[in-house]
Amino acid sequence: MSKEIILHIEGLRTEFQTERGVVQAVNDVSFDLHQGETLGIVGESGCGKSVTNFSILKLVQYPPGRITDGQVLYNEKNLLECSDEEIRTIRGKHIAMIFQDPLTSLNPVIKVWVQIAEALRLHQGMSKKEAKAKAIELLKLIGIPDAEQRADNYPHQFSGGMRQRVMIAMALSCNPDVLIADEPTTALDVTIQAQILEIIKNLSHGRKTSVIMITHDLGVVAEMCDAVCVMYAGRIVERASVDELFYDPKHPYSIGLLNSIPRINQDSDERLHSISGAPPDLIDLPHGCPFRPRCTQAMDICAQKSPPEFSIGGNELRTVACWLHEKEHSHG
Amino acid sequence: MGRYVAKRLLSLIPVLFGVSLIIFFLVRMIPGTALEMYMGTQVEATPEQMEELTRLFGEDKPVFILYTEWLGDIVQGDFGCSLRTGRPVLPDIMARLPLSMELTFFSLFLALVIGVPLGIASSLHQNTFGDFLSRVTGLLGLSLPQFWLAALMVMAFSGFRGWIPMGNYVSLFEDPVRNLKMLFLPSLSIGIGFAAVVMRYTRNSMLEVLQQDYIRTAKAKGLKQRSVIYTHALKNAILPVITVTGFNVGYLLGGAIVVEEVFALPGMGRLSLYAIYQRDYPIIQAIVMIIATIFVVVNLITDIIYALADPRIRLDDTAR
Ligand SMILES: Nc1ncnc2c1ncn2[C@@H]1O[C@H](COP(=O)(O)OP(=O)(O)OP(=O)(O)O)[C@@H](O)[C@H]1O
Ligand code: SF4
Ligand SMILES: [Mg+2]
Repeated sequence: MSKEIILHIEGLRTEFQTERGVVQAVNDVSFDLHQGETLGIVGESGCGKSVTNFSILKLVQYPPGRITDGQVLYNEKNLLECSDEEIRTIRGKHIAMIFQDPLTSLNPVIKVWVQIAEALRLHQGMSKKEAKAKAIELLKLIGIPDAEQRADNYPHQFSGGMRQRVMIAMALSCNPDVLIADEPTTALDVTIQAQILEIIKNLSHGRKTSVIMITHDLGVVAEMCDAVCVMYAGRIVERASVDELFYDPKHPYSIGLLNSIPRINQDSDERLHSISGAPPDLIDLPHGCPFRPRCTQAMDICAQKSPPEFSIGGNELRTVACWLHEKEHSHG
Repeated sequence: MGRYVAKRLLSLIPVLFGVSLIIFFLVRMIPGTALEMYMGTQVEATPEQMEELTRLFGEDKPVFILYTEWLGDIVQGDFGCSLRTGRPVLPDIMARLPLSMELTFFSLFLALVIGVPLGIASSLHQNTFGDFLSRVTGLLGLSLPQFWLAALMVMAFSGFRGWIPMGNYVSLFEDPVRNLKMLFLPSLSIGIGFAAVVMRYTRNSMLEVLQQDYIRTAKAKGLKQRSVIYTHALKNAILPVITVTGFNVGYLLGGAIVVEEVFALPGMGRLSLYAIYQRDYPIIQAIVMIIATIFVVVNLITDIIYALADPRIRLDDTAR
């Protein structure tokens, strides 16, 4: 399981300057994306999933946002230290993104094929004509009927699912090494969701693209991912393979998340639990463990010191940021 | 589209009918009739002479009959003759209309050429000193009356006769360069206030558009800042600017009529003022009818341009 690391994120911190104070949206986040892997990032709304991934490509808008610390290594290069010029040659070509809401993420006044062709012309030096032909080919590939005619349409003439397909065509047009999909199905109907996930899965596997799949839906994780990071209040609280997370979750928050989804083999007298309480205010993070106010197992130490990430059984890919698991952590 | 244009042009009929009704009775409500203005205060006339003159002026019938006769005439394209000179009204107006229209569109052009780039620059350097400066200047430009600016410019530039020709007017077709040079200052004084409006609209609209998700998508593709701004942002940000421009063509035309007087240009301004002073009813009526037509047509053109710029708008929709 020692696959090549394609993206190495370490100590990432991103904050927003607001009228109320500084929002610590991403707070010391580290993870690796391995070659060919699909890595899930799960967590409640507002826990910093999107901001983490915008930070990777320096897409956080300043002001109010600012990346204050950390590094993002891609091909041994720290993207956070790249010039604007350099990062533009990475964006869309080597690392591409699909966004949460396909309606607002496509430009309403530009034809669909033009929006797909832009990256092709820029990164692959295609002529307008070649790029249009390629855009139509991509539209066919992702299952848009009458692609030739539809290419000349504008985004509002497409349904939600179709728009997200267009986003996928756009993102995969230049065969990126890494695809970051930010809740690609959240805004869609359940039936369409499955189709979109299927397309992402097939295309990324076929092209050996590594995927970061952001979601708050554990079903998507089970369906798509090899490994998972669970985020809470701007931090990663647990890191595991999908099987480990589903069969042996360690962090009280992960356990809570898993208990809140229905399972087919669930005993009928077992109730569904949602985690009580609300996520903390990222401006005034409580001292110690950020999950403490909602944690049923909180101890004295939890109020005093924020738990570091303990690796379980010496496995670097299996970590938990919780004092309960300090003893399972073996140094070395 | 053709059907839409036809429908809109058809709507001209009720508009013009309403305008004709209002203007016909309104001009006759201005104190002092055409005849009284003609006679002045020096001349004494017998009642018989007055009656004769009234008939000559064509004002001897009840006003309602006069209106229907006039309406009947203009439907056939006959706008009547000047009460003073006896010459047909339409050729005189048509000789002056092009200058006023040119001034209007030149000032519109200048306002856009000044306002849009400044608005973009201002939005990109939000809250810097440059942004602050252009916003304050914009506010100033907005609050200065056009005729005052015009007078100021006449004074300021009267020393540069070689540079800006002030002498006899030549039309665009006779000598385009001289014509544009002549109309530059008048157009600037008409358009500068509107340039401030355009700047503010462009700035605010750009600021809003730059926050949109699709701008992030464009950046995520690796596009250069220039393409992100001019292709992705401006195409959306310009939409409200189109609307406000359409609304303001009338304001600019009004400005042209006033400023012509200051620069002694032979446009509709001089003619309108003369006609109002002299109560030359046929001229006033004809000018107002023509301006009303221009308004409706400009609105139609604005809507068409908007629909071309925003594919989400369909002109044939019943909703509009
Ligand atoms: N432009 C901004 N200004 C201020 N705060 C921001 C801004 N963008 C994000 N944040 C804050 O950063 C935090 C993380 O936001 P983020 O969008 O990453 O959440 P998320 O996990 O993607 O949530 P969701 O599932 O709703 O997409 C949130 O608390 C949010 O309030
Ligand atoms: S560190 Fe303490 S408060 Fe935080 S999750 Fe673990 S037990 Fe709960
Ligand atoms: Mg998000």
